Formats: sequence, structure tokens, C-alpha cells
Amino acid sequence: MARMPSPVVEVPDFWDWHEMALERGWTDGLVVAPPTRERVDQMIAYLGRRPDEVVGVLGPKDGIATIEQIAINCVMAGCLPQHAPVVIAAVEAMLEPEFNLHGVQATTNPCAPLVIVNGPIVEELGFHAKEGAFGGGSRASASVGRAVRLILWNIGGGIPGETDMASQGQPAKYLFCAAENHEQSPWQPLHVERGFAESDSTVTVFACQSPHPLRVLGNADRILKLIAASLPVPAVNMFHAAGQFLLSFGARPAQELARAGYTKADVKKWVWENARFQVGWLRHSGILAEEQHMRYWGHGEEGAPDVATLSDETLLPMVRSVDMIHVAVIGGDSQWWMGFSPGWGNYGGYAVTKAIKRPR
Amino acid sequence: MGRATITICHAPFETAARRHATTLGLANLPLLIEPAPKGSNLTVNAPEIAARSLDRVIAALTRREG
Repeated sequence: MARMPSPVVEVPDFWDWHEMALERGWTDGLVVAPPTRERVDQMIAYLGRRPDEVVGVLGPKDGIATIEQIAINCVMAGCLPQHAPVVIAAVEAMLEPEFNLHGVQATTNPCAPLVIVNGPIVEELGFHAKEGAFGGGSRASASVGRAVRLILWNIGGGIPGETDMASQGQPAKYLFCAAENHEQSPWQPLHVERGFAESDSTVTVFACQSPHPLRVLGNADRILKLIAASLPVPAVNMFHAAGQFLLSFGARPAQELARAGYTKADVKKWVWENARFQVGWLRHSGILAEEQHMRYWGHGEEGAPDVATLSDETLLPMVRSVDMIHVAVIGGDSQWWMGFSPGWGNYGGYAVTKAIKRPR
Repeated sequence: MGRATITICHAPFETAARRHATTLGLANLPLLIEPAPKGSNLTVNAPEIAARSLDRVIAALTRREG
């Protein structure tokens, strides 16, 4: 196939470029770097792949994500060439059927794809994993997260109010990328837990809401009880749609749990068994309702119980099984914070992990 | 000829559905638009929605192209 490079336009200066990018809908409002032919070609040369190689088709626009198109968005996001393989792995992960990218982009839910980076590349490229892991301060985290968003915007065509119908959206729709804190985590890394070697570098994408901060100060027993008391609130997405959720532990509470002998698997099992909706409380508070969209797991989860027939003592799980709970150590050990990120529900956005394939 | 088809979607996704159909070369794909659940219509159940939509589904599936 003959190479068909994207057209080049001439602009007098940076601010003319900025105005043109806004006018043509090439950005979601934030400033983006001009993707000069030279910069884009440098990135493609680093990757050693054909510019017209198709990585996939991204919904809802069914835009074709070629290596060149991905490289253009990476440059606009401020990526170095070394960041591009991370972005490509994230795109590949979002293309898996269980992620349901079209739905993630179009839904009324505010979820956004979170990119979690694992493996040696975290330190090599300087991804944020300790204090402020979900915030600013790392070129790698910021530019990779931003590139993924620009790809979803420009190639996938997720445009608010038109094809992206998230009622409110969330700040994570600008960028959402963090890394696991391997250095201070007492537990098996997320990518190893998901079948990769510790020496592999990976991305895990998961469509979720911004982490709701929970301050879980105390010994392991109190940390777990705080989690059990804080998660199962009836307006949380899992009440009506199950699906998956992520617990992102700061290093300090993770270390305290590990000191008491809890592995990641133990924590997930404990949370699944104990963070439950209480039928009696729901009934007496007047929240239980018969209408489909207000019912427990009323949004298509097979085998959902008829809550009206259950006793007040019944405890209902938040998600279908233990493996629908993800645990990662993201953030430093400066305080007892952790994050709770509900997923999109049983419609998709499920966590997918892919290896980062770097050029030889 | 192809198979007679109608696609059902919730109202908030009408624009997305029409654009997707156009992208796929089916700009005239019949769409049956249903309201998404709102507090005021939560008591409308699925059989009622289906009954209300039946005539529109039949009309779309039996129309003559031309």
C-alpha cells in the first residue's frame, strides 16, 4: 500500500495554530502542540512501523487509528517518541471487546479510560507513581494520558453533547493516567497479577470514575472496616449496574494491610464479602423501589435477586464476583489515603492489560 | 434487497446513532427513538413501550424503498 501522509497546512505562528486547532475541532479546548511533519516523522521513525499500519477502528466515529494518526495526536499531546509505544498499547487495550470503547465514549455515565502503567518503563520514563500520582508533575503521565484523550477525541470522535452523552463528564476526561508504585508497594504488581512477567512493561485500561478519596487511617482491621462502610452507598453505579471497580491504595494503607498478612487477593475477598448493601437499611430508608432503573442490579445483570422478597438481614454484594474488584497501589506513603473508582457497570469498560512493545 | 432492519436507541444517543449509520453508509437506516428513563416516566414498563412502538416498527420494516 502506498503511503498517504496527512496533509500539511502552513500557519504563521503558534497562536494562529491554536486558533485553527480550536476552530477545526482538533482539541477539546486545551492548548495542543503543533504536529509538525518533522516531529511526526521522528516519532514514526522511532517506532519503526509503517505510517499507514492500522492499529484499529475507534468508535463512535469509526475513525481509523493508523500509526501516523496516533503519532500526530502524540505530538499534539507533547509526547516524546519513547512515550508512543505506551499510547499504542493503551489503544490496543481499548479495542478489546470487553472494553466496549464505543459504549464508553457514548455513555451518559461520566466514566473515562484510566491508563495504569506497570513495569520497568515506569521508572525509565518517569511516570508518576508516588505523591500526586493522579495529578500533575510528570511529563510521561501527562503526555501519555493527554495523547489517549486526543486520540479518543480526534480519531474516535467522542464529542460532548453530540456523540459523548455523559451528563456531567469529569475532569479525568481531559487526561487520566497514573502508574503503580512498585517501589513502595508490598504487593504483587497489577500486571503480574494479570499474567505478565515482572520484567514486562504494560498498560491496563479501565473505564472508571475519578478516584473518590477515602482516608483510611488505622490498623488493618479498621482500614478494612472503613472500606466496607464507605463503598456500598446506594447511589454508587454498582448498585444498579454491578460491573467492576478499582481500589487504588496509597502506599501507606497498603503497607499496613500487608504487615497484618493481607495479600491483594485477601483484600479483594474481604471487600467482596463485607462491603455489601444492607437490605434492611435500604428498605427502611425508603430507597428500595420496584422500577427497573431504581432496582438493585436492575440494569441487565442476569440473576439479580428480587430484593422485595429478601429479609432485612440480607447483605447484597456490590459486584458479581471477587475478580470484578481491581486493586493497585497508586500514590505515596505520606498519608492514609486511598481511592475508590466505580466502573461503568456491566456494559463494559472492563480492565484490559496489554504489553508495551518497544522498538528494538 | 437485504434484510429489513430497524434500530432502537435511547433519545440521548440519536445523534451518535445517525452519525454511526452514516459512517457505515446507511444514512437512511430507520431508527426507533425511545426516551431514556427519567424520574417522571420510571413507571412506564417494557411491555407498554413495546406496544407503543409496534406500529412504527411494522411501518419501518414493511416500507417500500423508492
